[in-house]
Amino acid sequence: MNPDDDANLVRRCLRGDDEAIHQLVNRFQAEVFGLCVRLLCHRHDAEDVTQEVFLRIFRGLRGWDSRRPLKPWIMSIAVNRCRTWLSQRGKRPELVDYLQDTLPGPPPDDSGELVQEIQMAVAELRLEYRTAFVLYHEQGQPYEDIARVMDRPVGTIKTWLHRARMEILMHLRRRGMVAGGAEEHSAARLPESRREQA
Amino acid sequence: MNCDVAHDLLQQCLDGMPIESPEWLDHLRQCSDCRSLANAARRLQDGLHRWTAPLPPPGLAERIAERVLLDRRRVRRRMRRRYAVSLALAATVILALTLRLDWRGKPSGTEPLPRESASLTPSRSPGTNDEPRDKLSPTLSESAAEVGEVFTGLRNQTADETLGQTRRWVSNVPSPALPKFDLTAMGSPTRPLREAGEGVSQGLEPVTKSARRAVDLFLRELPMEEMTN
Repeated sequence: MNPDDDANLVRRCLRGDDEAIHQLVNRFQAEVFGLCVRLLCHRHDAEDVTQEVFLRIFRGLRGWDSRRPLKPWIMSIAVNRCRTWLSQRGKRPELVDYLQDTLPGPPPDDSGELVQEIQMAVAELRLEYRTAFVLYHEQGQPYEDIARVMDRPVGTIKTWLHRARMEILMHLRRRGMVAGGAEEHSAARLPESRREQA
Repeated sequence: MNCDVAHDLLQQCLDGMPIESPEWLDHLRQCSDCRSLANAARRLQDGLHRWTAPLPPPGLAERIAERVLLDRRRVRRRMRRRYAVSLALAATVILALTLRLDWRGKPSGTEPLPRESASLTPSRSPGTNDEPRDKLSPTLSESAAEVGEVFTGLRNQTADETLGQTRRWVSNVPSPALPKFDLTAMGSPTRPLREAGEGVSQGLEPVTKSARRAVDLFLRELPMEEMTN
């Protein structure tokens, strides 16, 4: 998206143009909602949080620096709101209703199961790792933008993303989604005495 | 090649960069742990290709926009109410000061006061010993007196001008239908206003007293350094 377009849209929103408000919501709602679903692992909560995120966006629109891109600013509000929501909820994240997220139609192989396992692994990640993973792999944002969203250096984001991937790879191996991976992995992780018995 | 380097290459692979390293392939042949990780990475890539972002429910955008517009209207209404309250408070303070000064600076006669007599001295109740207030209150009273003088002057001037114009207008109209006015018998225009002001200021006296007491209390609470500055 052209930054001039964003600045123009924001200017119109600040002038009280209702059409511009609708446009801005339509432009970013899918990404904000997607991130909220992944971070909160709950669709209904994600809907509520998405609404709150947009309320905060419009209340703080005057505080946006028009020299910077709009999208990372919006996503940072979404991340902060999700973090607050999770800390208030104070319980383990629930698993998403996968039926609503997977591709329509029966998959020809185990790809549906694979996607479910990846989603499960993502839901088990630490919030920072999960945020970095979703922003990079699902939303296709570059490291620099993710660093802006999460207000951390690029190096930290890379480290978080690498750890997130490693944890997901371990999960896939543990769950038998890799040919020969479960056996090899379990043998590798067993203590010496039990490994001999196995 | 050791496992750490192999893991770094694996991360590069997941970043979408192609890896053409025979050493890496050799390492994967020898190390079962790295080989299984590489297989898992391939599966992860497969899964990510099929991974779709969650779609927002239909009508969410409309609901959000509606809520945002509602919130805007509420905020605007709140701001307007705050503005009105501030204006009303400011007007009340100015009115109270004006009435108080008018009441205090006027003798019981009917003629308008000369301006010099409207200047005020701070009020002192007999028998009370409040020296710190005496030191501070003249400044406050003087400022208030100036405001009062300006308002009284403006009011008197307007009333006098109105009466003069009326006199001219009535005398210039030669109509028998108009009742005969004894224009010379008309008194000072400020008299009824002053009487009204007197009544209101008597009514507002408790308010002005409380305000004065509050200001005195506030000034007394100030540290000495600030007062001397």
